[in-house]
Amino acid sequence: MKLLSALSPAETMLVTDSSCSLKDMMKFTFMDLLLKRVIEIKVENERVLTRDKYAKKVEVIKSHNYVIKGKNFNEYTPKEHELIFLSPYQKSSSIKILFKHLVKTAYENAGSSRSYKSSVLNSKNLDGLLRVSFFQRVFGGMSLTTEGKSAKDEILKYLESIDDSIHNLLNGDKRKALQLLLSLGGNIFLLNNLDFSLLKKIDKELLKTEKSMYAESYDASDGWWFYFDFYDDTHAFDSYFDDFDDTVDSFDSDFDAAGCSSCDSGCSSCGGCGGCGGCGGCG
Amino acid sequence: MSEEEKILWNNILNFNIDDPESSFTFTDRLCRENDWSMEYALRAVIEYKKFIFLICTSQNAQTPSDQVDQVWHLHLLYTRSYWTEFCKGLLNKEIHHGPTKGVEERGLFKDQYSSTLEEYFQKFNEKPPKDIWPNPQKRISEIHFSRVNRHSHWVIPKLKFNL
Repeated sequence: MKLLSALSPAETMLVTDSSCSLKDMMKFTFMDLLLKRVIEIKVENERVLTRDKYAKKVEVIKSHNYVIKGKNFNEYTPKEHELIFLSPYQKSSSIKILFKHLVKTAYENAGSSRSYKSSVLNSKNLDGLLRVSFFQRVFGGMSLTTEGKSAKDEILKYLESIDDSIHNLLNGDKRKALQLLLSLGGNIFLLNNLDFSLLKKIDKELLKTEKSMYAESYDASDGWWFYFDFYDDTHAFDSYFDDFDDTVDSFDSDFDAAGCSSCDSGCSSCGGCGGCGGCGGCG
Repeated sequence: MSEEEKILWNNILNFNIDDPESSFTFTDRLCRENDWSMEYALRAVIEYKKFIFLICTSQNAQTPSDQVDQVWHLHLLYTRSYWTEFCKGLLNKEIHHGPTKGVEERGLFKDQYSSTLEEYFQKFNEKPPKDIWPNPQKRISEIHFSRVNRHSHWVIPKLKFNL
């Protein structure tokens, strides 16, 4: 289905259910950018001293997730609604961001559900599918055009048919499974029955054959091509999908943290400080 | 940048000021105390690291922008992170903060700030971002900051007239 391969998950969600939550749209946008290797997760391990249940000091290793620019960052042309995650990397190329800080950045950049949906609506992919009337502009909301309604039906039907067959195909006809998954682009997250661990079964040779079939229609500006990288990179499978549930769960908890305004403001030793205009520092 | 400098810059860049375990991190505090967005604060931290790199590699004294100075002030409050982990553990030198001694030093700081901007460009091969490193005139003139209790005061921006 050509339309679906061009739509980002957030765009698809807006067409299929315009009342979808901001949190879900952002979550799937983030995962889609990971999939396309526009951004990547870098896990850093740190040795820290802590106390066990007997109050004895023990050293443990804690892992922390940072988000950095991915290998496709420079070639990728972002959509407006993806910039909530990507703008820090555009402004500071060497930046490495703690995962929960990136979530907070994205929430701040998104503004509100309404403003974020407006930015999704600006996508060329949605031209003619949705409209916003004068009253909806004032009070919020949007509605589907006739063309949009038929696109919605078509998308839902297509997703449903893949949902019904994908599990069996991944265990049997892997070529067909790969073709269907590629046709979804980043919308694989909208499937209910996809077992991500089964994606490891896709043979690399099969992927190569599939890629060469599309070679003639290669378009460097088309973000769809980056999905091949995702199915191609075993490391990416491990780092993204083995921890997939953890990542999504931490999204939920970080969402709460990001919205928190009351925080510990106490500081320990703090003497008086004078304000000044210019300060010099020397080594 | 020489090979040695590249290694140093990489080490400074990868230094984690934030404690990932903390629910209210260094950068969260930076946002709250300066009314900055998270994105701006994260970028300001990177610029602070660049400033520290310039201090370490230059023979000349360096002057930060006010934004970078705010990051520096806050880092100085995290004494273990600043003195033990950053200065002693990573940079292997003590970097002291020297507040101005008064209006007579204004010219000196303006010149020093201008040369910091130039050295920034030479070392990083890119211009310092204007929203974090304003021009020297603005740097020296926009210094009227106060700590305001926002529970009891509203903060309303002044109107600007373009004549």
